[in-house]
Amino acid sequence: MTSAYPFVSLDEIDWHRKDERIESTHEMRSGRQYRYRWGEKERINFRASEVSSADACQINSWWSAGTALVLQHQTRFETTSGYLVNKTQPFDGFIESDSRYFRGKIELESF
Amino acid sequence: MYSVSSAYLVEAAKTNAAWKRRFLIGTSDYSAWVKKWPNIKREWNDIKPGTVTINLVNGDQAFNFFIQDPTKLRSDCSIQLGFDYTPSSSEYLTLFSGKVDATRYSNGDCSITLVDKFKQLADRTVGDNTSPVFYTSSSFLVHDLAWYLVTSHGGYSAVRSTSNPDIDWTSFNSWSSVFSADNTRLKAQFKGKKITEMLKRISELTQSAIWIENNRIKFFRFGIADMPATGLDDDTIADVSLTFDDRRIINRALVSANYDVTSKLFPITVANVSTSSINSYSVRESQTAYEDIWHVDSVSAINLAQRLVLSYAEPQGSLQVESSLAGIVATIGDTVTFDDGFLGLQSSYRMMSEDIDMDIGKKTFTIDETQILASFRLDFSTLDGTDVLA
Repeated sequence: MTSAYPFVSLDEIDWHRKDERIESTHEMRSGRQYRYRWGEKERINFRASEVSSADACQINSWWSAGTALVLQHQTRFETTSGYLVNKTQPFDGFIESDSRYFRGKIELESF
Repeated sequence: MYSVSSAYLVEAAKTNAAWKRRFLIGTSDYSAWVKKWPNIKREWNDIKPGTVTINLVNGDQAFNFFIQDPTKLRSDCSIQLGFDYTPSSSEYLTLFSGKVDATRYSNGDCSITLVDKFKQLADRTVGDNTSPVFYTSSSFLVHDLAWYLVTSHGGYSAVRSTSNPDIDWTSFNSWSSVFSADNTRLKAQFKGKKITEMLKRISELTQSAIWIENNRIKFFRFGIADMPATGLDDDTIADVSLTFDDRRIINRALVSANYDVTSKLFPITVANVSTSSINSYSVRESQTAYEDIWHVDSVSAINLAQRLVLSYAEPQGSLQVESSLAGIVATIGDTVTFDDGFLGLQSSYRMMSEDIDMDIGKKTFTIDETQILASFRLDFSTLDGTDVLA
């Protein structure tokens, strides 16, 4: 995950990707249907654990500032541009046994 | 009809047209920040500032520049609908242009209200009660008076060519030829009313349409029906409602003229009557007499009286038609053919208002016959009955 900042590595689990089409349909009296596709948006959710405090702090600051981000998945060759749309701060939990690492959830929605 | 290329027309008619929407502040494209696209409404004689509100996300503080530099509120903004034909070729129709009227920041969002060119004319007044501005030294052709209001008093461009950025010169030129031919003349005294109110008076006194299209003020008096540009049928109508309004009937129109600013009386009042309508619907009178703008003589006044009776002596249907964006290019003043088997209507109508829902891509027209039959309604009641041919 990058913006203008150094690469942040996330050890993700529970990867979910949801593509949503933004469209409207209008049915005429003859049955003819007009279907207008205005765009698509992509939403990616995943949990991450054992995130260093520096990385957690960096991601939380991106969330606070509404920074535009690019998510690059190293093995799936996927790239998504978007914003963090978490309702609350993405990384706000400690790993119970070791307080040096954080855990949290990334919710990224495309532009 | 909005001016677009044939490629645009072909694309717009498709059931899966690849519409794109754009919101520009200056030349910067902020479309990606739009949460909800607005409804854009306009009517043929609604001469007041038109506004639209567009809701945007501001999580990245993209619109905080208005707070830091309020002069940015004067930026020219536009809302457009069109197509990207290829990565390097596109065509967009500007549906609304204006400046920022207000910005509101709430819950990380920003909503921007835009206002159109009538705003400047609603912000300015002409004369006052102590020092009225008189246009009584001679008799002014209708279009000359409107021109002075919009340019000399309203501050808009007085360039008499198609390069005028504020007035649609082509429509103004056609509009002026109507009054030159009819020799319809007005006088006026302005005591501090807004320019938009004065234009509304002129619209009423001449049955003219005055509205904003492509960021220019258009003037039009509907005459003989032109060739229908758009056809509405079951393939293009999602829903329709029809209203026959008995209250709109006028069969005895009285128009006063030659107002005397000293005695405050109108020495002339002319009347036009439709006997067949009175026989059918009883007397429905209308009186037109304004002390700020008035017809100079009976010839000018009778022009309006006749037009009112011709337009409103019979109850005319008004239709609200919901459609897709296939008919997007049809706009106010256009003649459309309407074919409805259920209601048993198959006729030509004039488009009097439009409401474009840019969020879902729907257009609602109001079409009626009041401004289309006036020029060629044939009443043969004097021959063999009370029937009216239309």
